[in-house]
Amino acid sequence: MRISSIIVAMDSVSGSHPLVEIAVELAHKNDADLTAVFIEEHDWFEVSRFNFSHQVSSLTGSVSPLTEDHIFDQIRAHSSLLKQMVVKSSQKHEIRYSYRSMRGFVKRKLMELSSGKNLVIIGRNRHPDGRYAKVGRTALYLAENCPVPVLVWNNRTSGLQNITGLCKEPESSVKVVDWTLKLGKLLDCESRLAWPDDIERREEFKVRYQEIKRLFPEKAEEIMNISQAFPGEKIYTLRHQHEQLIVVDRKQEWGSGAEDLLRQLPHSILFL
Amino acid sequence: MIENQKLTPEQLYRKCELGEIDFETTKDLSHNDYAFMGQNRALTSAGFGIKMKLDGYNIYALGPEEVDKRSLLETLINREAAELKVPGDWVYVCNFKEEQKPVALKMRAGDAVRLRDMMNRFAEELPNVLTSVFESEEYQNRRQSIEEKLKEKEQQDFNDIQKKAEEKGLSIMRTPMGYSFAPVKKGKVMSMDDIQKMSDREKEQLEEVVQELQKELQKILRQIPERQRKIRRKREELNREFAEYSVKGLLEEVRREFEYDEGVIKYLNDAKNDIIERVEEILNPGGGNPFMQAVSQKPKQNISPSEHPVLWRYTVNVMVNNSDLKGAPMVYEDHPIYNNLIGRIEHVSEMGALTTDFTYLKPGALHKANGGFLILDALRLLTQPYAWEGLKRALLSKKLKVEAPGEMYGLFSTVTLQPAPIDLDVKVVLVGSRMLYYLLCAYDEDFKNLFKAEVDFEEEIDRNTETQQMYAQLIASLIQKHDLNPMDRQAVAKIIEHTSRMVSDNQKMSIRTRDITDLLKEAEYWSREEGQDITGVESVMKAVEHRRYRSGRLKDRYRDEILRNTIFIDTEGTQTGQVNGLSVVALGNSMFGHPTRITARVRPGKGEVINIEREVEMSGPIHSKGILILSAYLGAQYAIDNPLSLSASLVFEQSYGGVDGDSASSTELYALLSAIGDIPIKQCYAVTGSVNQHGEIQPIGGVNEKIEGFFEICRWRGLTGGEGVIIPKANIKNLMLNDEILEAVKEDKFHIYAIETIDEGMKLLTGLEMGEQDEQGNYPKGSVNYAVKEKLNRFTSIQKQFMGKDNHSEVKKTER
Repeated sequence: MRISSIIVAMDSVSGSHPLVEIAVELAHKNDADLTAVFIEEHDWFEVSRFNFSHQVSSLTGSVSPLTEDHIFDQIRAHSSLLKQMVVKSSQKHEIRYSYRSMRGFVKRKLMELSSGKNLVIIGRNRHPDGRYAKVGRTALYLAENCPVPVLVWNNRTSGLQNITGLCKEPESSVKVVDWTLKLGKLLDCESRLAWPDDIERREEFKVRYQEIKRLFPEKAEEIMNISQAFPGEKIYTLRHQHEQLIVVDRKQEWGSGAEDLLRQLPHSILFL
Repeated sequence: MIENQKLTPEQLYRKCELGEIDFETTKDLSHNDYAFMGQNRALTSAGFGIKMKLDGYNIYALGPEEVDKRSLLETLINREAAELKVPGDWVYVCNFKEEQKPVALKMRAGDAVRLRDMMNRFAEELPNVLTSVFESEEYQNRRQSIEEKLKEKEQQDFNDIQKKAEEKGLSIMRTPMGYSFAPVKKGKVMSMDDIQKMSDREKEQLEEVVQELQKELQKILRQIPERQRKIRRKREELNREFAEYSVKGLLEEVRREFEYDEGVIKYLNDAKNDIIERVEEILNPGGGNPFMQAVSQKPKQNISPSEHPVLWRYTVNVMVNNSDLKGAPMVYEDHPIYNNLIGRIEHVSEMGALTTDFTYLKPGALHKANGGFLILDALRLLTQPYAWEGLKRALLSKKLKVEAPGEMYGLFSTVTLQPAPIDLDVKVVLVGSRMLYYLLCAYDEDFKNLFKAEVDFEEEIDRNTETQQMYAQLIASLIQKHDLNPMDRQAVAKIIEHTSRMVSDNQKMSIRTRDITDLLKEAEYWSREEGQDITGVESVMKAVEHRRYRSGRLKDRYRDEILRNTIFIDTEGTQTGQVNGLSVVALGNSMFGHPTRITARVRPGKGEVINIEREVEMSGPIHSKGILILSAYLGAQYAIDNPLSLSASLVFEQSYGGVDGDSASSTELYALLSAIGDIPIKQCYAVTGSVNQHGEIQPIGGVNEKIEGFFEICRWRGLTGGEGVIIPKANIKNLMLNDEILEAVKEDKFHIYAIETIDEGMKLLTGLEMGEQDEQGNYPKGSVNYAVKEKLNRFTSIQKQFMGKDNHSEVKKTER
């Protein structure tokens, strides 16, 4: 695990604030470069060219013409606020950072920009709403398709307290174990590993312990200490343990994949 | 006759005979209850004041500072307080409806701390319990269900419009500020080229559809706030239901403990309702207010309830905790400033503003003494701003209301607390001087109504065998109380003798216990210095002597100036119109006597006696009165058939301060008679005593110091056997002279004469009889009266001659 460059995808100002906070913290603790991006949706400009296009305010319901000038002004103001937020937070932690605002198709642009980075951070939704947060289409797309680890951050999370790595068998969970332990130390949180079957059963325990010892010769004891078992089908009981980050490997099978995990668990989830 | 006036050594000092009381040292004596010796009046009055339950019978203990009034009263009050029941505790709790007006609760003794601890535990557990309930699956599901049910319609409307849009070849797109409809083709937003390829009719239709859908969307969006309000209301109802469930269980334990206390039960109900209203704030302090969130952040995990932004409301401020008492409280407040008496409201600074709440209410001495006794030093109380007024107000209203003094006088305009007043039932005991008591009686109407129990402490008692024995026991009890070394029998007797000297009366003893205690301590110090375990008579004498030495600088300076003839005092030979008077100087701890030359000069005049001190305003009123009395004596004695044709002047020579008192009036009369009659006065005597209009000598104060002052001068100059002091006979009972004088008197080197009349004094001073009038009104030749009368007659003749000449001149002037 090496994090030397992080990209954070921003959208609404209020929704992006917690993202910037965690991105800056991770960049600071890893001495990594941070790139904050705001993608100006290509379709906005396309639509604004139609003389019949109007915009209905989501707050008041009022209707106003949607011209290119309108869109441009709104984006400029919005981008300026996002930039201020990134600059202020980055300077406070003295990290290397850049802020970019670019026009294009959001998913495509983010996929392009993530190339060569170690971590992509994106919010679950433009406007997080309740604990069972909805998942934005962009976040879902990146969680499923982005080649680099994607941290889908629950914008409501504050005061992260623990990190849970969801493991299958030791061999297939090396990445999860590695990231969980390291992030725990990095963010000063309690780390734990959740195994989907009964680790207390003596024979299985012995086998698993031997395998862990082989894979992590120096950390076997620590890994066993922070391991806990849960019946595989009840993974979603985790939803009641808030203030935590879940680490999963996309290659492992969890229900019907990333979408299922995101819809069932309201936490921040790191997809490896 | 002179021999009759001369006092024997036995008359100069009264030895202490301890009679049949059998003890070697004070260890052998019982020491119970003798602290109240001689204080029968105070004891009875205090007993009445302490037991009297009616309003206004607070106590004022008056008497000299050196009588340990407070300690004696504390002993009595402790006895009474132990018999009384323990008063209840008092707490302040939050007034959930009006935070500025905290509620006072009276509880059983010991309950306050229990309630506080239970409520603290309750407040600590509350967030965890609420969290677990509000994170339970049931709550989450019901909340989700509410939100989903209410949002269902919104979602349905969105879906409908989305579907309608799709049917018309449109898609709803999010823009930075809201929504817009975009025409789509094969899942993508159409380009401008595509639009331009459309016919005018198609474009018109597209525009119409977009407008129509926009209106529908507008309608949907405008319904959102109302729906959100509905969701919020439903959510609040749900929160209340779950909060009540969780709080009820938690509070039940407290409720069971205090089910007998209506006040507590009502408070718990109010607290429950408040918690239900504030669940969101408890779980997410500062939530909804970005500014508060920024400053307060989320409280730490183990934050105490008193520091929590919301949970402090459920803490309990114990104002009075009587759990450790066995009876009624007795409190002595040694620093009776307003805040220490009435209590205070503390403030904390939060972002530049001073804030407070009920947890910052601090009790005063009145709170702690409520239901019992409060002892205060009257002078300290009266010299503290607002304290006396505050105390009176509390006693008159029988309510104790904590408020800032500034607020009381309307000085502050900031909002502060108005705590509910506490019922006050306290007996206040003021300890102070007599002067203060009489001043308060004279000038403070409330005082007389509030302090009706006057406890007047004696400062001296009669001295007889019985009281001396009791005094020995008092000394033993003081020695035990102050953990001093035991004292032997002779030392005890010496202390008793000294107490007579303290009050200048050999028939009385001082019961200024504080002074006695100091002397005992000092005597013990000197005995320890000598390596003794038992304090003996030498140590007592050394303590007395050392005390005199420590404060004797001024006395020694005075003596030196006399011996160096800077201050003129003759102690041998004779002088006309000059007598040695005796003065007393009292400064700080020092009181000493010294001789003063008093002289008189006479000439013909109109009968006036000029008091030179008075002319220059250095004479006090009593001294001036004495001069007028002796003038009256002269007139009555010598000017019955002739006018008193005399002009005389009297002065205290080398007196540069003021003079007051009439103890030198007899001396002044002797000087005057000597000056008039031109009769020499023996300078080996010093005289003291006041005189009345009949020529009788009246007693004076400070007789011992005066005699010792003159003796010391004579001793330093060398006693010849002729020196002595003439004192009023009425002062014999006051004599407690030092050993040196006793020794000199025994050896006939120094003499003390006690006289009753001016005639006796003149005879001693001049060696001449005063002389009795015969039937023709003449005095015998060679007598004082004869010489005086002769001189006065001469003055009258001279006066008449002058008067005649003056009248003659006037006639001549008229004739011309």
